[in-house]
Amino acid sequence: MRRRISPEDAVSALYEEEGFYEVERGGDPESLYISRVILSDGKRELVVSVLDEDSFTSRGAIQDILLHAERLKAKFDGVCIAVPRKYAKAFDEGVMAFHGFGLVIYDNIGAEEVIPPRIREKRTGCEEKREVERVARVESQEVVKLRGELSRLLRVLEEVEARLDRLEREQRSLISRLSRAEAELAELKMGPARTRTYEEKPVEVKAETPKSSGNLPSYLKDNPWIDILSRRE
Amino acid sequence: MSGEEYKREHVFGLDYGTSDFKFGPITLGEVPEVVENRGYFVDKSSLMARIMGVSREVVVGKDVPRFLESREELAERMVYPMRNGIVEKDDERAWRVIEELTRYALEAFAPGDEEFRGFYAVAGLSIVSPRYMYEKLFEIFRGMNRERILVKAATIIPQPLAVAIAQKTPTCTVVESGHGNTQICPISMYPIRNAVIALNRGGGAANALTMEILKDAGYGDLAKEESLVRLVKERLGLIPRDLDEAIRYAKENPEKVRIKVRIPGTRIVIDLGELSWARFLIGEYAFNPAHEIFQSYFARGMPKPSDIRLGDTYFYGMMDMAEAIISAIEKCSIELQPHLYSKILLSGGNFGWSAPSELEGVAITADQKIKIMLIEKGIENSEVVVVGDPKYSVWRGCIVYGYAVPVDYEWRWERMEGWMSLA
Repeated sequence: MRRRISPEDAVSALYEEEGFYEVERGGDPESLYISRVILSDGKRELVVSVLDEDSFTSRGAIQDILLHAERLKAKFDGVCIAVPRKYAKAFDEGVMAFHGFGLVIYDNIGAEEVIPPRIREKRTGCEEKREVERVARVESQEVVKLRGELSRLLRVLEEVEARLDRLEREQRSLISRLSRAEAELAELKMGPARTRTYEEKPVEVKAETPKSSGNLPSYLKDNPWIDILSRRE
Repeated sequence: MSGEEYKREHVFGLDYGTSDFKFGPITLGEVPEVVENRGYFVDKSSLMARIMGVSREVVVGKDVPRFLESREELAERMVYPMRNGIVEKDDERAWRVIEELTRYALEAFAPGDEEFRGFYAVAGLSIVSPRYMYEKLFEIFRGMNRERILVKAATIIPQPLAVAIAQKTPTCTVVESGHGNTQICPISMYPIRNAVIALNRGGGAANALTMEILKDAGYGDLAKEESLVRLVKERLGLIPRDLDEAIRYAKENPEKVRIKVRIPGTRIVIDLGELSWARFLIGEYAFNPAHEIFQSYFARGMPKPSDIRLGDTYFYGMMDMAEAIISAIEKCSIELQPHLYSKILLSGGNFGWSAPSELEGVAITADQKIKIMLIEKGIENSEVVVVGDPKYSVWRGCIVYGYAVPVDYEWRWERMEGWMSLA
């Protein structure tokens, strides 16, 4: 059965789509009626005060949430109020927008942003530009340096690979020469009468046959490819 | 449990066909799961999306029909990611669909227990897939592992090789013909990549001709429905032993060739009537569109299968099927050629033609047709077989491949084989 989503989940999901992630949620210690969700996009923090249906049975709930929201403006970059869809009319959209509060309405299906919160910009445009330029300058120098290092390393790696190839070839040739020499030596020691012909048998790599072939699908049983593929090395 | 034992129990096959995506672990046995290779980009503000609590951007698999909206929306939001077995490099929406389908497949079977360390995924792609498709697919597997380990190691094999493996035939020529294209690939333990020939036509070309025949028979309104045309083609289409003789026979014995096709669940009955001889055109066209009889259809506007280039591959439009098989085999060493003719495997939905017993000698099956065409071109000793369960043979080959290839056989780009370790 589908779990009924909580208002906090709905609010969180709504802002996740805009690049915010949840930082904290729970009851608001400074308010009698509301819970809150704090979200961040890495630069800015947004607080959403969530008022549930039961709170509307109390006359003071709306005043409390608005006064409290005003206080939250000092602590967070944006403040939103989330209320059940059927109580949305209790809030005047014009007044909310004028004071910079966001308004979110929710129901069993999800949440919807009716008024976006006014987000406070922490830095001036000029400062930010200077910072971006500084970072870009440092990063581009680093990139150039790293590229140089990388191409040097690649050249070294290619050289090492070539040398390794050469060494492997020489090693193989030495091994075969050594085994030929050993065989000739053994033959000489035994004398012509005792010379035997060695029959060279190909190394048999037996494909592991499935332990319980009875349960295997038809295309796996007696399939010559199993032997062929299990020799891949 | 040793690494090899673990691998054998966790092999997972994924066959990316142009129209269908087949997937599942070894434990499924003979038959994989099948869903359409498509994805629907959801309008998150739609009522259905809100009711279902959808947070995903793309819906794939069996859920798709529940999200469909109007026809206009459908054209814009429904994405079929592959054309001729290829996904365009920069088509981001198509790659999103491939990613979502892959995740859908793996998550559907990933066990929840702690011992699960990821599947050994074997993906089957068209033999003409360019390298970037391999790279992107590995990237998708790797990306999924960031959320949850689903793939321990992965490998990608060409679909014709998978068919040969599933059919237990190490040396053969595989002719894989799907909806959009046909690939001919000689195989001798390994796929012989530089001998591959591709045709720019498959079942879809025969559909186009069926559409024209339906229009001529007075069913122009129905000819617009792709699925109906496909059904009619499957029920009416016949492969002639010799087209001219078959047409003569049909015109002399019209009642023997005439049938009525009832469309299930509707009141529609299709009867070609005097045009029933045209049933033979449908089958002939799949194998030899260059026959002069088709010129009149091209002249009236039916699209002619053209030669195109996709990636590094040239797809021939009008080359007949036997000519294509011979061209592919003749690119291989002379010593090998007789072995390649001695086992020609026909795989894919475009070879599922029936030959009714009452038309014996006039209508034949796909394997008989190819054999006759080869004889006409001087190839006498060929053995042509239509594979059983052609729809599943690529998936089965993927499973055998994953089961048999040792875990320590690492992926190398120069041979395009082995396991790419991902977790």
